Amino acid sequence: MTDNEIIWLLEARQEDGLTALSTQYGAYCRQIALRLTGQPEDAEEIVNDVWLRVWVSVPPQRPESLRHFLAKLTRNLAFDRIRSKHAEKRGGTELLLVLEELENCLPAGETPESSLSAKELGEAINLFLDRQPRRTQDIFLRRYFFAETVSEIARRYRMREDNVRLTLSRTRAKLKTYLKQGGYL
Amino acid sequence: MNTDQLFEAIGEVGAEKLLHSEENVGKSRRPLRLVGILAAVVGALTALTLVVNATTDGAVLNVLRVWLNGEAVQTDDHRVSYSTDNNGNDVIQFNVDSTDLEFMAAKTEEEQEILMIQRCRTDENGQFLGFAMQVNRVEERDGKLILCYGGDEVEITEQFRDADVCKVDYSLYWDDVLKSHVLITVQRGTDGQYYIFTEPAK
Repeated sequence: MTDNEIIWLLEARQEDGLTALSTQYGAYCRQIALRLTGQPEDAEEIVNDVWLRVWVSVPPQRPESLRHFLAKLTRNLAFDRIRSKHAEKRGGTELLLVLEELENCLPAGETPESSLSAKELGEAINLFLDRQPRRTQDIFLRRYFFAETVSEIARRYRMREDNVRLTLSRTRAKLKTYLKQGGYL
Repeated sequence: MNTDQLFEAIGEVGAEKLLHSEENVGKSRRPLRLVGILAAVVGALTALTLVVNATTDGAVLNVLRVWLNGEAVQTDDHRVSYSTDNNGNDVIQFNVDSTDLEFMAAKTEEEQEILMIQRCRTDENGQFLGFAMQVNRVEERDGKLILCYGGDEVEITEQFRDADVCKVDYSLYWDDVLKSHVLITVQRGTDGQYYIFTEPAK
């Protein structure tokens, strides 16, 4: 079944749309959730929450890319879940590492909360990524969007792990400069 | 801004970027099967010609193409010509014109690495031994001398400061093809620049 057909079923309020979603994207969403939470039970519950969220939001929303609409929903729900479940020590080992790495993009010490929305900051990061080579964009997103491990990324792109780390570290440094210069920090 | 906000903001990137990151998996840096490589700079700044002596499947060209970020040159591009040398080897001539140089000027150091292939080492039969790259830059960190090139970094021993040549046993990203570590020779040229020569470790 094509993405358009699934969306059409959802818009027609037919539950077959959810079944098709689960068949075609269940493993994909589960993988993202599991990577972030590190817990199969949590991942399963998150995926169920994703279907519910899709059912509520489509319509009126009509995602251009169903796959990435689901990826974003899964990522957000996983992050919310981890944040509320582990206020002190957040689980999901890979997420913890990802957040630690992202800390390098920010100045040391306390920083004021940004008054900008995630969407506005997202647009700024989009612009930043546009200035990077395609491969750097891809590696950055595999790590900081999909929370893939460095070794997974190295295998995907047939690179040495050192090179992946170096690319990520350079990109973080550039992002920090970009955010500073743009007045986001 | 805190890390949570940054993480959430990254979640807002465009779907087309995510799609690209999933579509291009594994397409970078295809395995090398070098038979020989002979690089020559023709012209100063307006043209660079690399004469590549390679296997006929275009493996070398694939690498060159990747290093040009897959955007500037295609293997079937008219700027690429095929011929046979006196020894019967396939020769692929790869011409980069001023447009490409302008294109590359807007690129990162890593992508410009191709411009740094300036010399190669061949034996008396023209057999490939290794190629030389001008080091991107030399940095001093915590008293250590670090040579950076093509996304890799090599720490050079203190002794190098007093010598002109230093050998480092190091694994490059194409070691899965050479099936061994390579020996890197770092040499300070008469022009004061640092050069690295690579060859398979014996």
